[in-house]
Amino acid sequence: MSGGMVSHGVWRRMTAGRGGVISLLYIGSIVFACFCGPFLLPFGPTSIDLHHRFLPPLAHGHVLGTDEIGRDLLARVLRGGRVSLIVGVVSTVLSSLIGTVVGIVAGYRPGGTRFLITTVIDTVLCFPVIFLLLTLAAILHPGLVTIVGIVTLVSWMEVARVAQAQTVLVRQMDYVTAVMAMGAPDRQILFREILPNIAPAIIVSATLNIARAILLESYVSYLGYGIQPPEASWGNLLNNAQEYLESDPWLAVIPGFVIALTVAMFNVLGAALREAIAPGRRA
Amino acid sequence: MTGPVPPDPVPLLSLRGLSKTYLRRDGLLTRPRAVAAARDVTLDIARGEVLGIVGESGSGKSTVGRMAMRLLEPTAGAVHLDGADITHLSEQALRPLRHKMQMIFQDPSASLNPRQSIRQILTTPLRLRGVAGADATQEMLETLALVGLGPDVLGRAPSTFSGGQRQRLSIARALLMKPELIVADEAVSALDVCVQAQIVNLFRHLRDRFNLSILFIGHDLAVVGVISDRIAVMYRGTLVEIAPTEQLFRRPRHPYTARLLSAEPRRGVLSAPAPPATPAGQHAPDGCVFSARCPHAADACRTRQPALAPVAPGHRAACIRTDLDLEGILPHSN
Ligand SMILES: Nc1ncnc2c1ncn2[C@@H]1O[C@H](COP(=O)(O)OP(=O)(O)O)[C@@H](O)[C@H]1O
Ligand SMILES: [Mg+2]
Repeated sequence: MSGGMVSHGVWRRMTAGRGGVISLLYIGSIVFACFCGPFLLPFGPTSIDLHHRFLPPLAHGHVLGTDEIGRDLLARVLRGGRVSLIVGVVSTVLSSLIGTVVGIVAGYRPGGTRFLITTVIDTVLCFPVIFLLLTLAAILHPGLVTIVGIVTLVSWMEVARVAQAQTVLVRQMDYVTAVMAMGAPDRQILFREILPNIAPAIIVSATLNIARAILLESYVSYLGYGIQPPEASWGNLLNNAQEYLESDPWLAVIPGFVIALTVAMFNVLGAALREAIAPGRRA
Repeated sequence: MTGPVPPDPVPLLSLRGLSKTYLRRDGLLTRPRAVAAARDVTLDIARGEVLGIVGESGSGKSTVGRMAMRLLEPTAGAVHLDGADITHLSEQALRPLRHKMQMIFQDPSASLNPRQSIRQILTTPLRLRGVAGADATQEMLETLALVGLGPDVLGRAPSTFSGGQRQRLSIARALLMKPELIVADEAVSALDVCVQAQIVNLFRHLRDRFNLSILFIGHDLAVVGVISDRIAVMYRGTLVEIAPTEQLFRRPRHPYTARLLSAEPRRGVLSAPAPPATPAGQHAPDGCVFSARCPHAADACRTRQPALAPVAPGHRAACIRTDLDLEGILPHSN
């Protein structure tokens, strides 16, 4: 009930700012385009047309041109976007769940448990993420499930940190102390009192994490360890385009631009969410 | 001001020599220093009694209140509830006893979960007691009426209430646990004078109606004096004097109490006592905590902290200058 009122305020403040509106519009459009677009296009993402190879944008009805075996680039970018967005969102949902549980436990239980968890988080964070990612990718069999798994594995720590810091903060609020003083079980204190109050911060962190996860997926696929051709992803489109960088630069420029724009928009959305949620914290 | 004289041989709550010491590090390279937030605090609360604790900010009032509630682990000493030592009970073992003591906090804006409606907030204690359905609603409405609120508040969010109303809601939440003791930690300090009086009256009414014991913590002697049967005065973590309210006002036995009383205006505006000249915990290590600011300090005062000793029936003070005739704010009875 009050939760509804609070989210109503967040929505109003989100849509009052330019960043919030633009990022929401962009993300809405890109999601629609990636998931519905391929059905509306006359060309399939894997239909080869050897008579029309390396077409520049806007030639012969190919809005973004074609690649080295005549596949429509727009169809491939949209199809690849579907994979990239799925990896970004699914791995973020998973890593947010892991991070929230780990962070909340660390924040709620001072002493040994917290020390252990913080040590693990700090140790994992010590490894350069890309290095860890590539090691895992090289060992495991490539594919959608694998890439979601490894992106999740290297990105739960950020949410865990946010959840821990927030839990420490909320735990000592008087309304939590009041419920502790009633003799409520830990489970109830965590899920009914603390979690709803740290959820906004976790959502912001998760939104920013989507941007990071999309970037990580692109990176791994670009290096050839992620999504494998002929299936498209934003990363392996870039990989493919390397060879033709000088002769047919749009093959690299277009997917690169879409990745950069999408990542930037998720970051803008995260920032706008943070702004919109911050005033509600005081209440 | 004159409450029931405690007839019960076993006090509801008894604090025995409670101390809390924090290690504080002032700089990166300095050795941590032990700061006593509370030192050897001993006091009893009878059933149906309102015991006030006064002292300036940082004197350890909240520390004592939280240790009494077993929300803060004491460094030394014991807490007895209903004659049973609960100091070392595990959280698990404590749970079934927790309902007996409930707490009201100072900051009205932080004491209600901002993400829950009032109905959800008030359901929490009822569910813990196993009350549900129509019984729960009935009890909720009765309790709301008791604190002066109507059924229309149930659907609202905490942010839509004034400070005074939020304190009423906190009190309702506490009452729904059917407590025997309420620790009110500066429960009216953040409110307007007029609202303060209403909430103090509400506490008094609840004490009379349910024979509740109340540990009423405040920094304003005038407010605490209105409701308390007895008053305990704290200074820098030490309990320096404890006496029935009237007796304390008539004839304080500790120079610090006298100082607090003289700082109170005789009538009208309420005011807070003067802030400490030095941070808490920086008195001479061995001397009386108040010796540095005491106008009556003798040489012996700078060598050791006197224990709380009886000076009159029901009246104890931690001062070796028993010869002093300090001035109160009520006329001497003879
Ligand atoms: N967690 C803590 N760590 C270190 N010092 C503390 C802590 N909590 C309280 N103190 C210190 O203990 C003293 C008493 O605090 P408190 O009981 O809150 O006083 P009061 O409620 O009378 O204002 C203060 O000097 C305070 O700085
Ligand atoms: Mg306090």
